[in-house]
Amino acid sequence: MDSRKNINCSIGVILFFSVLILYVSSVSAYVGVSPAVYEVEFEPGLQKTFYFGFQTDNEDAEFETFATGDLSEFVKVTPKNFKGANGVNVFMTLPHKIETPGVHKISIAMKQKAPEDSSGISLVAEMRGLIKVKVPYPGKYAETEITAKNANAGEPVEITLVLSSKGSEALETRSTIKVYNQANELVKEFPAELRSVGAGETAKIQKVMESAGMGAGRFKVVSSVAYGGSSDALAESEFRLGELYVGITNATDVVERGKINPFRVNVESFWNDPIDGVYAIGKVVGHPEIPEFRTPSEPLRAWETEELIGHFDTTLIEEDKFQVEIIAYYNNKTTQKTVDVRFRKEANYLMLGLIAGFVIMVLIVIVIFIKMMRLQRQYGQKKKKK
Amino acid sequence: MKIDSILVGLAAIMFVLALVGLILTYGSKVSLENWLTGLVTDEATVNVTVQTNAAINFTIDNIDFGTGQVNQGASYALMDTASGNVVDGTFPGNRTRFILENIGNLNVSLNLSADKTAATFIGGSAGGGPLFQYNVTNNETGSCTPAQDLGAWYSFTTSLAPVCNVLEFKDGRDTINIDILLRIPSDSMTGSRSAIITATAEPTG
Repeated sequence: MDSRKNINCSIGVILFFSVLILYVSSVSAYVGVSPAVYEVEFEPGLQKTFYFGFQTDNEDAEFETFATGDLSEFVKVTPKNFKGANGVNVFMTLPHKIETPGVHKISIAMKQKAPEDSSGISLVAEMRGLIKVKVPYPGKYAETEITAKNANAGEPVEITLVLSSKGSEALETRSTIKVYNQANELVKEFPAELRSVGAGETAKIQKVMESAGMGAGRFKVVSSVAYGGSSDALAESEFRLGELYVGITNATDVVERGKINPFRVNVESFWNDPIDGVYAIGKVVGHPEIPEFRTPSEPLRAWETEELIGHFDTTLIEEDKFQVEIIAYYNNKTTQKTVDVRFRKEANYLMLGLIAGFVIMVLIVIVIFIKMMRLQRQYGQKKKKK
Repeated sequence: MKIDSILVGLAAIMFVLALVGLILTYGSKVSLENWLTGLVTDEATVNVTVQTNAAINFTIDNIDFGTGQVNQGASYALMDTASGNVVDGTFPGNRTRFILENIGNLNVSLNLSADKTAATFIGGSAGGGPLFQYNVTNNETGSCTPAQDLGAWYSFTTSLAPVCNVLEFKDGRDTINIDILLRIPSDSMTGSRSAIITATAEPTG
């Protein structure tokens, strides 16, 4: 009977603490909206309905909706309040004229209401969808975007210039493209062809630039488009010219004493094409008795980094710090780097053992104390019955 | 013995309920899966339009610093979730921080605001007055293009304060931490105090 009581007690304690642990685990909650963005061209008096699907995984959460931002007075949002995931309709009626040209953003917000019984500091979400109304600029107005693809030094570079007419009139454009190096020195300049762009339309100009004589590195390409507006439309972007070089960016710096350790070498490609068969060899400096180690060969994608892993034995190394010379091999070329490595400090097992022993001793004392209290209670009850 | 059995039974029921609650909490996240199949006999085209989806997820939606008071003789107690430390106070403290992730397919901008300022949340004026502040850091490198300095403490206001001009959506760089700091003066308001922080996310561009 006593043993069964003891077993019940033990099970109860274990289950109680399990419940406690489970209820302090973290909460995961999300809110979202889809579609998140609508774009519409301005028309006088335009009437349109937009649908936003607001999502959440908390079906009990309450939300309120509202519109804010430019032109928010021209929309009506329904419903105003809802629970859990719900769709929202936005009815828009634009005025006959909008003075300010450009993109006007109307934010449609779904704001979570905090639970009434919340205590402490609570975090709630407000998710917003967007309606972008594009109002054309009066007369002539252009926006531009330029991109250039990475290449290897000496190879052709593809450049794309996108012209967008945002005004109410068609454009006749004349473009100039300039290329600057990292020192901000002009290295290339050339014109792009004349191009007509209708009102509200987009045109694309593609050029191929020879990079012979430019060397490797990062470059900036800048476009300037004259279209008859008050100022030229400017855009800029960056591109890289590669060289056949693999850099050693990082390596293991802490190992464990007296065993075989993995040694990691991070390499980075500065070439615009994949490089196959990249590997590294490591030698411990000042220890010719330790054989050099080699990593497996790995392919390296253009401009990417890769981790190469080799292994070596530290048994014969007595000093706390030493050096490893790393040589990376690729396409009949090499890169060399020497790194400092140290041994990890070992745990004081004696101290850990003393602490563990003390804790066990305290637990034993507590168990004995509880048992004695229980025996005393049983003895007292028996005495009363007599 | 009867009482012991009843207690064990109750504990077992509570354990099962807690386990079910844990499974439901983690299993209730909506997952979207798209399948495309195209049977091409001669010539066929499969078109697909991926809708924009702006969404944020946060683990931990409540931080409780517990019950306590300012130590006698001290002007204020100071505590924050970044260090978990409590200085000059008997509060148990808290090292739990808000973690916010962009789980949509769009970059978003992120603003923070609160329904109370330090004066209306905590009150008092001793030791320089109350503080109710936040500190944003990248949980994953490159997640936040900051509108303010990352890692610096800023006071909550009731209007929107931009913290990330861009919170990226790409996996591996889409998560930030939000830590909270409280300074409670010795003459602060008493009783259970609560505040609500709103994280406002909007598609960029």
